[in-house]
Amino acid sequence: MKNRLKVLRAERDWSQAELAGRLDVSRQAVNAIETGKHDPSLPLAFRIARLFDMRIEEIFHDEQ
Amino acid sequence: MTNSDPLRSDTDAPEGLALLGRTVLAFGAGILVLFLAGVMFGHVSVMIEEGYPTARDFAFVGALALAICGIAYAALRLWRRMTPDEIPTKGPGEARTRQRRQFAYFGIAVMVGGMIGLITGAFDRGDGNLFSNEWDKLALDPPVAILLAGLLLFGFALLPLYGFHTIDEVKREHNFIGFTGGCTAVLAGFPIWAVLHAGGIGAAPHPFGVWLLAFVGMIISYLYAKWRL
Repeated sequence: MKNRLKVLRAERDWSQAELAGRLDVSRQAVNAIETGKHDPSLPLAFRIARLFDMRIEEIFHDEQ
Repeated sequence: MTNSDPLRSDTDAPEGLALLGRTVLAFGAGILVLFLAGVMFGHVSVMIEEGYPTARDFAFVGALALAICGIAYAALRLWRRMTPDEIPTKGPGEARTRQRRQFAYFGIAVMVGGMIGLITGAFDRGDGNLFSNEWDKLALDPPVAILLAGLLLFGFALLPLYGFHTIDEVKREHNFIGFTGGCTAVLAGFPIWAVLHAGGIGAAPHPFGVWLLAFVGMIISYLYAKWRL
């Protein structure tokens, strides 16, 4: 699954650690999601969407 | 950030390099601390058995304890130095809280491990060692055995299970893979070991070896998950 997390984070000039703090996850988790190594759970995806005030499908999208 | 925090100007290491550095640091420091702790508890055990500790004995044990503290402190400082963005300057502070929780968790784990080692060394009436193939030579009084069983239950079952509540979903996934690897190592390893022994290859399977299979399988799987996923 691809996502726009890195772009959205860069637009706000947040570091990975800062975003991790806002999402209540570790920096490694943010990095893993950004690099596509980990697909977030639905609750975390909702938290990300709420944080950026967007819908989940605007941030995450299927590679197909 | 406190005044004693390391400078962050030279810490722009790439993610993979930082992860490698942290992995090497954690395991290097861990092995060193375990080795020194083993030497220290062994010496304390001998001191108690002989009954006449000298000033040199106390100095030796004190020096080892100081060395352990020094290594732990240095590892902590280097750990933070390797990823400059680790500690957020803004945000609600959950990352800081989690970090503190994790340090408390490791501190308790080390303390429980130390207590198990110390009690086993001090109260063993035989010549055994809990974490070796000579475990059956241990001879403990029933109350001490019950106390140790409780500590082991806490250290090897309750504490790791509680740890799952303090980590996020990525780390939980790494841990699940680690536990799966440990379980698989025993499920496959014991019968393989047994048939090899039946064919005249190697020693007979023994309990500590099976435990070690699980432990090593878990560690290797965990490291693989942390490195690759």
